[in-house]
Amino acid sequence: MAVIKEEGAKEEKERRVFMKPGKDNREDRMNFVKYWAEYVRTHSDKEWSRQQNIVIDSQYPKLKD
Amino acid sequence: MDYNSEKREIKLDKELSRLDKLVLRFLDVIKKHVDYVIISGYISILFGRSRATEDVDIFIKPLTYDEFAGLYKNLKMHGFWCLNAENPEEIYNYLKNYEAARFAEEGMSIPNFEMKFPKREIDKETFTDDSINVIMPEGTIKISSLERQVAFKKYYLKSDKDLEDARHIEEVFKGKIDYDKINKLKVIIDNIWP
Repeated sequence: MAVIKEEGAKEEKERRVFMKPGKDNREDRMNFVKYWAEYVRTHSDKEWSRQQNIVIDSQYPKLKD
Repeated sequence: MDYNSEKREIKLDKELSRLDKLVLRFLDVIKKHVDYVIISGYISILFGRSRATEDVDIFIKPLTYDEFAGLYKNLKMHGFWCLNAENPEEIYNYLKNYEAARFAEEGMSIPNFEMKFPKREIDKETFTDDSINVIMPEGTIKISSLERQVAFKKYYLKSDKDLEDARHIEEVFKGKIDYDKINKLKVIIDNIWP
């Protein structure tokens, strides 16, 4: 689930956004792409990249950190 | 991230992945010898797409043989090797024939950099009309325009992965993409590859 931070609130509020499942694998993948892109767009670079790096760094174990 | 389309700049403050660090190491050498533009899939990854890649595509401006030999020597000094050949003349001939030369870190084949000279006018325009500097605290990466990425992926490459990459860019930069420009590129692409 994506958590979107609402700006302007006195205390930082978070709103969960749920992903719509696709009718087939292709549509489901595309729905996830849109869902994740929305997360990237609405969160700090540090926040989304920490999650992205779990996927990416696992693919290149031999590359220098 | 903060995109200023007038300045052709994107400010990005991400935590770098191992792939991003490799790209910066490679470009540190390239920049000393030749103008370059990163194209294709890595751009989506740079902006958050949740996938890895086996190669990073890069156009370099055409060089003389001597200039290329200097670049090649420096790449080797910095721990990169060419997957296609060892002899710089042979590698240069591939480039001159608009074939790709692939470079990776010593002892590895992936990920690698697929280096090419731009062949068609639409490729050459990548340098002239609309490249963007992605500025990060650790270094700057020059990429082709977002519109060019979206147009090539949607109307030329068209695989599921490419359509997903295009959609990722469109969503992340929602409201900041010039769709007139994409449509003009689509016409050119459709004419070249009907």
